[in-house]
Amino acid sequence: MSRAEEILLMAKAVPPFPKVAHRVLAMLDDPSVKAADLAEVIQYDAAITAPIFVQSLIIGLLAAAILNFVIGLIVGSQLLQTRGHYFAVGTLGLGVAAGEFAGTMDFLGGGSGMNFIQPPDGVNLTQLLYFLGLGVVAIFFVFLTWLHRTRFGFVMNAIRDNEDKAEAMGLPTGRVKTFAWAIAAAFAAIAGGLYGAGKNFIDPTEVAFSLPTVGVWMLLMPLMGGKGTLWGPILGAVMFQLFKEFFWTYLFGWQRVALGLLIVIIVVFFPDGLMGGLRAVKERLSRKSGKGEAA
Amino acid sequence: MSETILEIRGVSKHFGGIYANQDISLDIPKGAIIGLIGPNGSGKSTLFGSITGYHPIDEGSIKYEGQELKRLRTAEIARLGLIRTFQQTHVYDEMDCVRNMLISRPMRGGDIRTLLHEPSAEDRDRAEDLLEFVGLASKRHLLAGSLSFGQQKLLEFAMALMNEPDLLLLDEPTAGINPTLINGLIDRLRQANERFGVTLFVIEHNMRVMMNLAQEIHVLAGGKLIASGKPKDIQNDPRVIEAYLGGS
Repeated sequence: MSRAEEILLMAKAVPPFPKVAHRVLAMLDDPSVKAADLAEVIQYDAAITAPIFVQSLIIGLLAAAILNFVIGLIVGSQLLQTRGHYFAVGTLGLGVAAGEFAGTMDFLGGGSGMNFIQPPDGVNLTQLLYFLGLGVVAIFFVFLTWLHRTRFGFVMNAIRDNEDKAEAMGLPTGRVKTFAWAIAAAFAAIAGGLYGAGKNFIDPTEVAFSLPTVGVWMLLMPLMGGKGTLWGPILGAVMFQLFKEFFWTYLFGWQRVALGLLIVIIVVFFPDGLMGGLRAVKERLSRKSGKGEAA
Repeated sequence: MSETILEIRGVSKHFGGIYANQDISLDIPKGAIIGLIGPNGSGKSTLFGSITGYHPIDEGSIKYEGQELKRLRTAEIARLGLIRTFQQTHVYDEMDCVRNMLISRPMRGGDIRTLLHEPSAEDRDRAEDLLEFVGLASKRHLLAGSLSFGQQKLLEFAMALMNEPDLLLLDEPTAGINPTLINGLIDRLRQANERFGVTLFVIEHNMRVMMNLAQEIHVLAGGKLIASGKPKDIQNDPRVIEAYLGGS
């Protein structure tokens, strides 16, 4: 058995990423190892570490989703007992507290934040994150479309419209809100993981809760498209990106002022966003046709 | 003697130093239509709120089908089959009438897994039937928020029936309804009682409606139960006349 074969055999039997790297280093010190053997092992290493990197990323994202789902259930069951202003202040406080809490954890890099693992050769990270992001959006959209058609979706809408009424009709508002919160937390965890990978660095207090940028943008997107709708946040994200590119390209220096003005215009003139406007038109048409029938 | 579905004993509820309900005791027989009247501020809606868990009572006991309701929450009480409507309409504004109806299917037991199903064809048929029953079939695809106040009242009544209650508390069901439609509504309330076997406990200011509809009437004044009896007796009861006319 050649040296390269021996190393390859070992690499197949153990988690290869650190082991193979370690063996390669050892081979470099061994004068009897030929360059061809070394190249073979390195090629093998590259061939297996790329899929491992991708698998690890996906497993990490799924683990984050499950962990956040569980945390969402625990925290949500308490926080969602509050309503109105108390709920708003509670969630804001929770966000700040979570950032500060994460900042104390050394394994997350503490206050200094943490860098994302550099991808191995053969992995186009930008492309990978794009397709992962697209896949997550597609899965989430299909999932929410299904959920919207179930009684769970009906109850969520009922809570949005009139929580007192929903309770008076015996709907389990508390449990539905808690599960909805946990589901949202799970997908937010995946989005956060992808965002961190894309930024290459993440810091709990600066990047994760960056109010002038992502913190406001992620709220603005559903507002533009129409909150409480399935297509609203998607349309809003596209519209926002177009406006942002336009402002950053043609109004550079004033881009944040322009974005602020856009927020004011949306909140004042289009409180229900694009989808809300379309729904109002549909409703008007429906009423007109109803009158026509009655006549 | 008919079976009692709701038993109220010595119920008191105060807000600060003001008693909204004071030592109220009454029974609601199963299958009956019972009225609750009284001047404004006499504590009628508070009593409904106490029965349905909105205002936890300070003293006394409220038993529904023999089960004490005092420590139960609103949704838990509703899941037992005790549903209420409100003086001010409560519908789901941003959804159409059919969806309002489908949401109102009973949720007995409260198991969240039962929520992961789409409404059945049977549910949809029942929703359509009940919308037809209250005269809103032509409005089925309009948003509930776009309906008139009277139409919302009818929708709320249909939603309550969709929940298949055993006892339905109706808080001023004819308020805001076009006077020409009130007779039709009285018929529908009676039909709901006969056809669906729902016991009705109704607050109403319209005396003509109450005299036509109720088999027995209870009268509240100043938070106290001052009279109970047949409509004809109540109409001529001097305590009731005094309470309404404000005798000294």
